[in-house]
Amino acid sequence: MLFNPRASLIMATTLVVLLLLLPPSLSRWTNALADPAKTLVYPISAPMHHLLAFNPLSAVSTDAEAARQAINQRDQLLTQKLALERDIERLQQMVKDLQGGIELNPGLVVRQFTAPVLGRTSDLSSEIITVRAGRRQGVEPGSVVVSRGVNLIGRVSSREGAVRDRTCEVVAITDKSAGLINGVVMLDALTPGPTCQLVERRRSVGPSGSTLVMLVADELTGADAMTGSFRQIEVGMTVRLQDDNWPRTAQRFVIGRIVSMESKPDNPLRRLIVVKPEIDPTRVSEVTIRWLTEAEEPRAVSPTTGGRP
Amino acid sequence: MRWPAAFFVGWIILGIDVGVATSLSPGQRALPSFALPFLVFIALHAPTIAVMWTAFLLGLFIDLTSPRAESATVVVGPHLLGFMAAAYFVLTVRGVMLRRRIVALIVLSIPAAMLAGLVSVFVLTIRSMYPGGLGVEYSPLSELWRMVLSSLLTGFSAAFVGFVMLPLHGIFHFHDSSRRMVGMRR
Repeated sequence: MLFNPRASLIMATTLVVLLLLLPPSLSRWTNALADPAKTLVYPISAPMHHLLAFNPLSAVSTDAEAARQAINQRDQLLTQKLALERDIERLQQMVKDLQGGIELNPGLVVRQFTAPVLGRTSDLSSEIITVRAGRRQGVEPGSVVVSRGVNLIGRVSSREGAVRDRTCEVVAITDKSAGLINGVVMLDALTPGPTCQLVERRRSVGPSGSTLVMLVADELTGADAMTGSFRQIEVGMTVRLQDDNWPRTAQRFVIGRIVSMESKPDNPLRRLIVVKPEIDPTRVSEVTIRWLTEAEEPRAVSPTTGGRP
Repeated sequence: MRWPAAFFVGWIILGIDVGVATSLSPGQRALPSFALPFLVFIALHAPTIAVMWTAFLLGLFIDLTSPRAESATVVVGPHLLGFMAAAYFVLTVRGVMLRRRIVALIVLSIPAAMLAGLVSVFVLTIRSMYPGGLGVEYSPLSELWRMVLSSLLTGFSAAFVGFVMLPLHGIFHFHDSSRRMVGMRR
């Protein structure tokens, strides 16, 4: 006998048990069996359903169905309301951030455009991000890129082909090709302290992110040594941009926060501060690109020498 | 057992299960099963292998037509294994039952439905531990409670199935072992 019912049943049951033990990704092919099964069963289920419509019980069940639909509708509307509230909060924060950026540079005619980040280059040693804004939106090479209004992310690359019709490449301040950066340590929210100059970038692909090592430039000047202002530098202080090689629209944007201080290896009298950007440029999801429309043209960033002559 | 008759009646019963059970369910928390009393009816009269194959096929079709999350995979097995367990249970106790009585069908359908539900919940609980296994959050405790309610409702559907099936007993051509034994004695 070709078909042995007992052996076939044992084999089929064993197969089903094995199928149950497989991860969902390997048993996805069973979806293909569902449609033929439904095609077979549904033709008879519909007449049965209509048959029951004459049953007094169906009136009760219709009420229950209507109530269930109303509850579903209420839940959907509630979900939409919550999503809209979240959108409003996000937009309010965006308006606040954008206004904050304008307040830092009053009197300048600045155009700004918020755009999502599409991704970063696959080269882990590079911190160049691609943004969905390009020539069509008016983006120009050298435009300043910030996040959450005042946190400096970098500049639009001036490399040929970096600004395309709909996308552009942004060289993060933590990227090795971004050039030197000068900043000023803010002793408090309004008081600028000693200036500092970038000497090294420390790369980290981990969650800690990259940091900028800056040399505190004014420490050895007589005036500062007398007043001891360099001593006031503390971990946690904010470092803002103060660099003539960057557009005026970018001045006093936040480079980052001091996370540690160390002595210069070849000159222990000079101090180095390690500055960590408030927002990791490689992890940001949305940026604001800012450029001057008439008053000042943005200066293009040089991939080799950066902003420093 | 005459298979074409079993297939045809099983097809109608599956149609009732899919199309009617939802409407009969109070609050749609618990669903009466019509397929399970039909399986119990078959298990009370048919040979063992035929009963187990009927359980396999009924369970398979219920698994394949069960609603699921949009992105989830069809899980073949919970009802199939549950029905096979229920069929085996009926096979073991059918010797002490008065098989041609509706009461026997009702009395056996409730514990058989509970056993099938228990196996089904167990299998789905294991399956829900896989990432993306069911596509929805699965709560075994609430499912067990729903299963108990469904089993009690299945008692009512068993009365209906018994009322319809017992007069149709002849079309299945069951091999009635008890009657043959009586004949042999004569």
